[in-house]
This record gives sequence, C-alpha cells and structure tokens, in this order.
Amino acid sequence: MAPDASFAVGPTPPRALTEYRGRRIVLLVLYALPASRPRVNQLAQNYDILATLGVEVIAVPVDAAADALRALGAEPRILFPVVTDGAAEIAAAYGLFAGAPHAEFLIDRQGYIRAIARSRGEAGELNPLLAAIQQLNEEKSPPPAPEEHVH
Amino acid sequence: MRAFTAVVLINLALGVGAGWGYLFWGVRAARLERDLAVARAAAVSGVEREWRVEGVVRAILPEIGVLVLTHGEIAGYMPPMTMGFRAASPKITESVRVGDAVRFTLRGVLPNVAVTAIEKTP
Repeated sequence: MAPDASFAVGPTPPRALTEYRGRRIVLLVLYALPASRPRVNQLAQNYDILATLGVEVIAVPVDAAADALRALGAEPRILFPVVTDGAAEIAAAYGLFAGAPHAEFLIDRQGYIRAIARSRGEAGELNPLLAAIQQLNEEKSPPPAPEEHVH
Repeated sequence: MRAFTAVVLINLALGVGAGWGYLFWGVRAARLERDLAVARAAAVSGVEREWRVEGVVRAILPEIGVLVLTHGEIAGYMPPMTMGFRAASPKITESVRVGDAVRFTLRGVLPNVAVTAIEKTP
C-alpha cells in the first residue's frame, strides 16, 4: 500500500493522497532540479493525455523548496499539482523506495504502488508509462478494501 | 346516411386530435414562457459580486488575457482548484510571474467574472 501523506499546493487546503483512492490513478513524481527538468517538462507537455487517462500527476520537489513553482518556471506550463507544503514528508516516505535522483511511483485506484520508475531525470520514452496506465485502466476494480479499524 | 356518419366521425377525430394537440403544445409553450421569464429575471437581477482570494500563479496567457491560478475556496462560487481566469486588463497579467503567491480580486456577475486586481503576497 502506498504511504499516505498530506500535502498542499499554494493556498489550497491540505489534502491526503488517500483522497485519490477509488477516483484517480496517481503518478507521484519525486524530482530534483535541474536534473529532473527534462522529465518534468515532458510530463507537463503530456499532462492532457495523462489526465484523459484518469491520472493525476503530483510532483514533489525532494528539496521541499517553498518556491518550487517559481523554480520550475513559466515554460512549459505546468498545471498539475506541485507540492509546496508537505513535500519533505512525502520525500522522506517515498525516498526509501526511490534509490535514484528522480523517481516516479504509479499508484493505482486502490492505493497500491504498481510501478516505480527510477532515472536521472532525463526525458525518456512515454509509451511504457502510458502502457502501464492503460493496463491499470483495463483492470476490473476489486471491491473496496475494508475500513481500517482497531480492535 | 353512411357518408354522413363517416363525415361526422372524421370531423370528430379531427376535432379531438386538434384539441389534444392544442393542449400538449399549449402546456409546453406555457412552460417555456415561464422558464424564459425566470431566465430573464435572473439575468436582470444578476448582482455583481466580488471576492478576495489567495492564490498562486501557475501560468500566464497574455495572448488571450488569462491567468491560470491555483486558488483557495471562492465562497459561493467554487472550491479550491487550479483554473484560468480572464484578466480585466493587460496590466494584471504583466504584473505577476509564474510561482508568485498572490491575493487577487475577482469581480463580476456569475459566471462572467474577471480578475480586476492582483497583488503579490510574501
């Protein structure tokens, strides 16, 4: 199960990763500038395709910079959530699995990490990612997991 | 006598058909008139509203005079989200950069609203 974490983008109220369960596939991107810029730009340029496939991209700066949006710049337009509050906690939790300067976690609608792509942040092929997403979209949804509880 | 009966029956059928048609279309027309009146009233009585909202600039599209902002809740209008808003003047799009935390004024008659003022926040 993907670790949960709370995050915010700018002035928006904090939200939890678990809020995407049952709704969207999440591509959680741990990035570090300047190395990850090519890959982040590639995701930004293809965000419309990813969104159409039911994916929410959540970009997390591993340095947890407060000015992460400004650091990414104006071009290309990056419209997916870039975590400005809570990045350190997410980076710490997911960094254990990252093992590379740039890591992408594909989290399915049930909240399970289904794929981890590690790289140096270069713009690679997008097709393997799209194929993995398509595979998740074609899976039949299992019944919802029971509520977490304590006896 | 047979011909007379046939004529009477045909006339009766036409009369009943016309009556049902009048009823159906009459009721429908009356409903459309009511809806139109409500829509007109709403348009006339549309009140200009104004909000002060916190946000962060995500993209600037000066060619179409639009700012894309990730913003907090806009009471009575929309929840927090990332969305493009029309800027009331080019000065507004020129005064900010991507990544700026801002406080902006949104004004207009829903859904025709525009950013009329914007300032950077620390």
